[in-house]
Amino acid sequence: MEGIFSLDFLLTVVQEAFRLKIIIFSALGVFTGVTVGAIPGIAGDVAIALLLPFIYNLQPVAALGLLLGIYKGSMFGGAISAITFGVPGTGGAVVTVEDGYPAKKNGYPKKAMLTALFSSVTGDIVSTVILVFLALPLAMVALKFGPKEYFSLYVFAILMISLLLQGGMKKGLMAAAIGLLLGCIGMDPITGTTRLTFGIRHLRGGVPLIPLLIGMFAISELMTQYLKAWYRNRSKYIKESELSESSSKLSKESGYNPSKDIMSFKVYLSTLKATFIGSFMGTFIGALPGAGSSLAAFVSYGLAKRLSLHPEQFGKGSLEGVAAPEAGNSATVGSSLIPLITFGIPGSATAALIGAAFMMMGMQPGPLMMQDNMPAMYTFFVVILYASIMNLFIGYFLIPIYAKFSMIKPRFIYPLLFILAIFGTYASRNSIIDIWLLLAAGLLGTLLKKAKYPLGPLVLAFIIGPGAERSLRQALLIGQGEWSSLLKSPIAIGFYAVTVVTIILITKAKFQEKFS
Amino acid sequence: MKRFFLNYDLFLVGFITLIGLVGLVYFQFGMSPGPTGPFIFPKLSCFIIFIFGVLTMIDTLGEKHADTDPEVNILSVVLFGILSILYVLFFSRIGIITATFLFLVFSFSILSPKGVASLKSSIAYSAFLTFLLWIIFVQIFKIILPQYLLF
Repeated sequence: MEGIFSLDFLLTVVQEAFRLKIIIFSALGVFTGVTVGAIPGIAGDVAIALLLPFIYNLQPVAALGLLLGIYKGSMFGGAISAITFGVPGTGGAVVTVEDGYPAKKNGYPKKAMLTALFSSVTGDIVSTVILVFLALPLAMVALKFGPKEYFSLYVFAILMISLLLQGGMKKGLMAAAIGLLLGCIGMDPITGTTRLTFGIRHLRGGVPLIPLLIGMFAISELMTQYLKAWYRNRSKYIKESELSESSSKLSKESGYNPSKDIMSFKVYLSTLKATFIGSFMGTFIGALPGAGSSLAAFVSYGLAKRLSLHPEQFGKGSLEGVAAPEAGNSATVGSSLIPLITFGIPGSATAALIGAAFMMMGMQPGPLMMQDNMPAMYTFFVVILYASIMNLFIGYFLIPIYAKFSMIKPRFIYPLLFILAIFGTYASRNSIIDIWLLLAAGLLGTLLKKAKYPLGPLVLAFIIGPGAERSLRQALLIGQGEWSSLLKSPIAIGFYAVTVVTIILITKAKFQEKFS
Repeated sequence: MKRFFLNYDLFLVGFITLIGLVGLVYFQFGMSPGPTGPFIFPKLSCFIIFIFGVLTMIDTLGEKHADTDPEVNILSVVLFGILSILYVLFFSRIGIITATFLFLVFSFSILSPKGVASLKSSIAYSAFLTFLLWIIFVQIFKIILPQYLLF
């Protein structure tokens, strides 16, 4: 452990992180992320899910740099269409529309876009630095956890995932329980007994991760969006060309003067307070399992408005109103990896996909991951730090290009994404059955989405389910089958107490909202 | 339409709750694993599904308006579902490259604003993409794709 801070170790890590191959893959990831983020309806998680089957042959750090680059890039990419067309590219950019689009209408789209970029990168760097400094100490604490403590942490995480997502709490918990049940299919983790396979040999090893993830994230989205693209083209929805025309008309009507729309350091400084509010709120919220980038953006926007010297300008094109949510949603990227790397519990659905990538690379997320893969993990940290800087440069050059597109037309993208999903799933195990599982997972995801069941808890519970089961059964075995033994640990009691208090607070807030 | 979606919501929650109940009964009475055996966790999952399923059903019955997502268009799901099943069935018969080309031509044609009128450009675009996919997957990634009757 003393070797961590030695010069040799740091030099090795930096040398490894700056290998050309790793730089290229990270840059490719950021480019892909900004691009998919700019396309409404396709978020970074869809791109990450689709790329999962192809990372087997890559070096772990290059593969993780690629995926993290997409995660980071997509957070900013969502702001491009939010500001240019008033259509958020990702869920995290929904709040950016509030001030970003009015800013464009008021004649300063460039300032709004660059404010979004700079605040996004600032938020991202803040949370990544916190991740780097917190990961190792927290992993050391996590090493002291036994099965009882772990199970209480899993209970806390699953409940948080279900409660903090927008929408019904009961549906969130049901979705999580469906994920837990799907995770039980196959051999059990303690005795190897086969369960819930219904005689299907293919399921003995459990539901394969890739078809489930791609099905839930990509296929369900494609099923939802497919006809919408058709409708949109037949003017039942807003025509893209009209959107573009109205957008350019707006600029002309507002008397757009490029000389008045110049980003400067002074403008950046004027939004710095909102940027830091977003950065720290986003980092905090991102570290809570399941809270996600949308919630971080909403809370950051609300807090920045409350603490602003000019709250009356919010909603009318305030640059602070662009900076806070953008810093907030991007700050969730680094912090959502904190619980994943230290406890093996992803902080968001996208972090769950990154967790799946870690597993595919032979690195099991959890407290031992830092200890067992020290050089690789610190190389990874250096890569995600410089990926933030890449995001700044790539975003800067892509803004004028993507803002000039009338919109990246989804009709060219959806069929291709479907084919990539099929090829990727097949390539992962050369199995046609996996393709049928992919379609089944997509259909299940769509049916649940229609009735407003959130898919995030399902996927997260599916991934952490086996760990939760192992902890529960080990704790029960140690306690000779007594459920009360789960409470014989101060740390576990602490987690249960926090869980109960959070449930009470959230239920109270929801009741107040309902009756007001 | 509202009535249909209210029923859809109710049907779905009812179906999931039934799965929870069946699982609960099966693991409680059909298996004898002991308090720390392999069926304790699936039983716990089914229990949570059943309890929250019943609570959600009570909520749904009390609602006057459907709590469904209007963004998810059932027609879109059905159309895409049929297309994707046909695609998988086709590539299991005629080969993945040929099936991919046909799927792309069909998709681009129906998603184009000009409809079938844009058939020529759809064919050209699909041919280019299919070739690109073949280069990437077969030549670069060396993935052995299923080959049947045709390419």
